[in-house]
Amino acid sequence: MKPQTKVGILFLVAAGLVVVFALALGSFQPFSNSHELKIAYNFAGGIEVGSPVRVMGIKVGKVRSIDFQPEYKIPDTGEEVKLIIRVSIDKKAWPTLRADSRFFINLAGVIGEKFLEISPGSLEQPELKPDQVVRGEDPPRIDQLISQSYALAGKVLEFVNKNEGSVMETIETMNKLVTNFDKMLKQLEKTSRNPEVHRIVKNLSTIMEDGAFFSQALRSPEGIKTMSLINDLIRRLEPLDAKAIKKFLQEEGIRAKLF
Amino acid sequence: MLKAARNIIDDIGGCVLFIKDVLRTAVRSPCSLESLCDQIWRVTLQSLPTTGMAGFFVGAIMTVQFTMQIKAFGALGYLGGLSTSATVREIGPLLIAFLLSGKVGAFTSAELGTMRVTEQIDAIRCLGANPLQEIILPRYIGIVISSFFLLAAGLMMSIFGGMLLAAFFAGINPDEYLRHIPTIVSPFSIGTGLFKCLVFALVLASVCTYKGYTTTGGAKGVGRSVVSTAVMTMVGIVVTDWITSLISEAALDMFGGGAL
Amino acid sequence: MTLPLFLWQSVRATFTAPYRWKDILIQLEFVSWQSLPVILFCLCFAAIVTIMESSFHMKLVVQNDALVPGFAALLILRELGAVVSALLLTSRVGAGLAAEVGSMKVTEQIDALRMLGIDPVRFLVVPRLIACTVGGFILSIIANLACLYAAMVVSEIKLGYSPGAFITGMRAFVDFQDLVFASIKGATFGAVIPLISCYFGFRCQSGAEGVGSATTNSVVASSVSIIVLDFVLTYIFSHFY
Repeated sequence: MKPQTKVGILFLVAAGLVVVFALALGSFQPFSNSHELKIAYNFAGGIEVGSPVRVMGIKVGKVRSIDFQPEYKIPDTGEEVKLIIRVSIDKKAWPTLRADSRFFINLAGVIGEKFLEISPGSLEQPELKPDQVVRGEDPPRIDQLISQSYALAGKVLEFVNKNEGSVMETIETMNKLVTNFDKMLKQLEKTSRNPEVHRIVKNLSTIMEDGAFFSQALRSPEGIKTMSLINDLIRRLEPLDAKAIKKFLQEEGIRAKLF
Repeated sequence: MLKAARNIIDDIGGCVLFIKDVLRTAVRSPCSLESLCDQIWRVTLQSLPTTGMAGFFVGAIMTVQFTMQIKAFGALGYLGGLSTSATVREIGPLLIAFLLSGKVGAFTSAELGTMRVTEQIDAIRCLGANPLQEIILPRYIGIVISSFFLLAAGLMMSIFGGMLLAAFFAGINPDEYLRHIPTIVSPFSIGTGLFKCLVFALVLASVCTYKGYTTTGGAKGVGRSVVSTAVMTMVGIVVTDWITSLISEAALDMFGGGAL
Repeated sequence: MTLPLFLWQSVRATFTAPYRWKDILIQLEFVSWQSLPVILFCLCFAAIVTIMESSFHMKLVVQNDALVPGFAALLILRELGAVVSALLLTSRVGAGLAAEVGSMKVTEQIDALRMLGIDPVRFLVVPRLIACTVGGFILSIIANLACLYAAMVVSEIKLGYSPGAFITGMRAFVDFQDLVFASIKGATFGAVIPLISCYFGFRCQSGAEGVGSATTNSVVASSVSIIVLDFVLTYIFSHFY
């Protein structure tokens, strides 16, 4: 074999291997089979160029670029959004994206890999157009969340430390209360099995009902008027014979209650 | 192609027979302790700076590489342990032995080859002495012992280099770097690394003395035997690296994971 | 001839015509084609050991070996592939070059070239420098990817990862730029080898002893400078990841 041939073979093999490697890594796609979409965020939680894009948990594309655009405003709402993330999405998955799809940034895997999750839209909404700009859901600021929960935990701790005595007292009292309540419930259970007591309780409830009916009648506007009239009468008659009238009224009153 | 394969097999066979001769000489008529110590002293002193420097840079490279990876996990605490473990168990012995194959191996092979082509070895035989006993044996044993020592010294330097780069590159202070080493690097790992060093030293000594002793054909022959020494040593080191890894894995299985 | 002067002469001659294309081609064939089998052989073993060792460390630290493909691929591409093939190239090509040039010096062929009015640097060093740089570039690409392939096969046999799982795991860590940096490393190491070897060859003392020591010194000097350069390049590249 001529040396030219050997060197030529090596060059070709090297070039072929580079292409195979690039294809295997997915950093080079000659047969583009995807549409692009621009997603606007104010906070993107550490997403990077090359992070995967998933629809319903299936990888369908990747983040192509991240651009900072200080002057950009969403056309419909006029909201200022300064971060535009350009993603490519497989044509197969494109029809599942509708105008009401939502764009989350999520975290998965052992090393906390960031990815962009897209929820499928509903069928009656129109499909998204390629290269459209949509607003994404800003992920919660984990750092802020953590600092807030730290502050809360600190406050609780401080409170407990300060009022240790009274908290203990309260808990003890509550303990006692619960014990008593438990005892009462047990007794009630015991007594409710006794037929005599059962009858008494039933009577009691009838009386209560009657009383309720009467007091209802008393509380009605007519009753109040009558009462105020009687009061007036008593005040006027008082100087004459207070004792007799009182006695009469009391007896009358009792009778009126009974019938 | 077939001829090349046969040459390789011939080389291996010749090397094994040569080692057999050397060992038989060692048992029957050992060389003087004085010449052995002289040999150890010379080889060690000659190669210590090179080995130390190589070890330092290997440790430094591994620390830089691991820092970039570990930063993504936010686990910089592991840096000391991981980079030291990888260096001591695998990369350190391999790369430092490659370097020694150039330094000690090529030097010895050139020295012996020169002796051979200038007919000094034949002169010794004419004087009634055994060249294997007088020349080869002290060199063989001396190279094994001093290479083992040099490799171990290189590993020490690699820890130092890793520590220094961790301080400069990753911003981890040396105390913390050193404190995390015992959490990952166990005595078993160090044993594996030293075992590798020993095996590499044996390969190195065998190949270079064999190749030097069997040199033929003038100044060009010396050059040729130096080249083939270096290549053969490196191939031998890579292959024995695999074998020692297998052995250490088997040993780990045998003595249970608790030993780690 | 001092080292800076020698380097300056070689670099100047490399970037000025005329070139001896035929010689470059023959050297390129020697550097890349004839070194390929031994490099591939060694790197396959290196790949096996890398997989074994990284699975050992993974089990130690994170208790499972899910990240082994990614880590092993990264280690191979960033360090092992380039350095191991460069060190093998040093011992094969570099030592051979030093011996060849040293023999020429000893047998006064270099002086003969000077007598004929031919610049020995342009005649001897430049074709080898170009051939080794290009050869190192090609070899590092082929060697790295063959090593990755070997690692893929080994991880399927030993750890039970399918090739698809290996590639997916690799993608999480490895970028295309890793291969670019690896081939830059390969080309740099390739350029270092003939420069140092020829320098030691030109300074060769007379006799068989001189050739031997020139060869030895050139192997040591190139190995050390490869490791130091590897450190420097790693440090520089670490700012681009």
